Amino acid sequence: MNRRYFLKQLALLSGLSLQGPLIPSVYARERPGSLVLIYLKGGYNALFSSADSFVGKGSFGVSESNVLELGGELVVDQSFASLGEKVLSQMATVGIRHNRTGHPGAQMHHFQDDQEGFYPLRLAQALDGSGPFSAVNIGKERPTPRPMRLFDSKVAIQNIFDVDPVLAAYQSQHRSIMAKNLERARSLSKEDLIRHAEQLVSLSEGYEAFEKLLNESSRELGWEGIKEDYQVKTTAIGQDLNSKLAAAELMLNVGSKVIMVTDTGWDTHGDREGIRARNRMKERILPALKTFLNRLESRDQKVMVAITGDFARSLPKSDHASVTSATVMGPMVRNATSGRVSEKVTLPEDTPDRQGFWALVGEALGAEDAFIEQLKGNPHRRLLKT
Amino acid sequence: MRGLYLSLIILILGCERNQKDLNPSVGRVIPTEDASSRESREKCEKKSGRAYLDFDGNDLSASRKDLKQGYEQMRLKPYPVLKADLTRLFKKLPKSFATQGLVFGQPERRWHRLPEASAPALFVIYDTVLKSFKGYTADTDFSWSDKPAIIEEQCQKFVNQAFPHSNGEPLVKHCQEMVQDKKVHKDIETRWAHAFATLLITSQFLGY
Repeated sequence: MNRRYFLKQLALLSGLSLQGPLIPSVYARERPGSLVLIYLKGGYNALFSSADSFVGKGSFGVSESNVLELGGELVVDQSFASLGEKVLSQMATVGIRHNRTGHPGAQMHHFQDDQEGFYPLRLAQALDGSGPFSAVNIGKERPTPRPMRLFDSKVAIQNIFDVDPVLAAYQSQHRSIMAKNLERARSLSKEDLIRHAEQLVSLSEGYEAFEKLLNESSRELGWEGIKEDYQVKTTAIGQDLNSKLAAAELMLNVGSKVIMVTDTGWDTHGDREGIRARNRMKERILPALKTFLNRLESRDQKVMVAITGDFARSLPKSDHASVTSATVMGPMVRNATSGRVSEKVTLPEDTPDRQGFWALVGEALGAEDAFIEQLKGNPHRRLLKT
Repeated sequence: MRGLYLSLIILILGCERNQKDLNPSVGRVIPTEDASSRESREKCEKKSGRAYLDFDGNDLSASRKDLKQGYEQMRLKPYPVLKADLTRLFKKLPKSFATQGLVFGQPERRWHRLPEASAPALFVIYDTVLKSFKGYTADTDFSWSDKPAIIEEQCQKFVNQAFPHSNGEPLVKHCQEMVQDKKVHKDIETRWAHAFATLLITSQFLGY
């Protein structure tokens, strides 16, 4: 062993100067986890995730009295304090420099790659998402204007509008006959599914997911406890985050790997003081999120929660910035930031685009190396615990 | 003359290329079929029609997909249509289905969105048929006999009602097989219920 070889090995072991999947974090070797992505349609104001950027000039009503220093140069909005100390100690900000200022363009850009297709579906696949509901969208609202779909993959998004059929399907006494007959129904539909492949793609995907569901063991999904804690009265998913996160927890019980939840109404033009955004965060997001995160603590499951949106809001009138400063939370995350915006709500030129975000999530949750390699490695590794 | 031949070759190659591009679902298995000369001719003729241009001279139809006739025409039935069809078949719709608009992604009023199927939606239809099946059998002269001729007749009748626009032959055949297969369930009533439910989650019923 010569000196150069020794130094190389040392560098490899310590992770110095290396990015990408060559040195996966400790989490990568465990059972793959799940992502719960809360998408704020319209925008996610950086006053929440990069609060210190605005203290000096008081932009968006930010002052020293309404920010929270978490360490690791991470400063967030005071409202996040309601999530509790443990959650705050496992929070980081991720910068996404996407250069998109139009809503539909930014929405598609966050989730889609021209070559690779939709990141959430690729991620679900890379997280061993072989279950019936490996990728789900909860509720009527969707993060993108067009449905997400991969034609060369068996992972498809299932839309969950009401959890009742999911509960009933897992408990039905007819499951074995249904499974057998489903094969017959598929074979009878085969010609149509081929001739009208694009128009009937959701039916193809539905059959696939239904088949997987019927092949899983019948089980109780713990809905009663969830319902009580979230104080939801019905199985139908409304526009509130409470019913959406209650459903998200149920889908974690089913084995979902990527769960998308969208909240609309975040296009807060004219919100110079950040009052509307703060109120919305306090009223619509944080109470439900707190319940979700509290319940998550008792689970033996690796889950990352991310809050992101089309873009941050620009100054002075809270219009559209060209970057997003997203928040990630979970036991694999440490207090740090790669998304501290400037006073003018921009990010440094070397801040990665959305691939970096997906690579971070992938590595944190233990996705297959190939997924992270395709994204050219995880540039945000320092946000993860080692 | 050489110019004419050259143009013809280019035209043929152009048509040939479009044939290959027909597959809209990259990665999915689509059987290759021999395109008839008539279809090829029609596809090429369409291109020679009037061009619709925008102010910059760009062809507004340029992004349209050049699909083969008879392909990609089917659509899934929206929830209200399914509701009406099931009510027609079973005389009465169970309350459980009446409130399942959300599962089928029913859009708000005066809003258009193409319906999408999903595993929960397929389960709901199947389950609804199991629950409302008696509405069909209670009526008319439904027989619980396990004589093949009677089963065939009743399958035929159901298929005629549920699939007025489809080729009923394979559906009737499968219906008969399911009702006659005692391995599925010893009770003939259960077998009938599952046979009907199976037929109603096929594309022939869910689409139009």
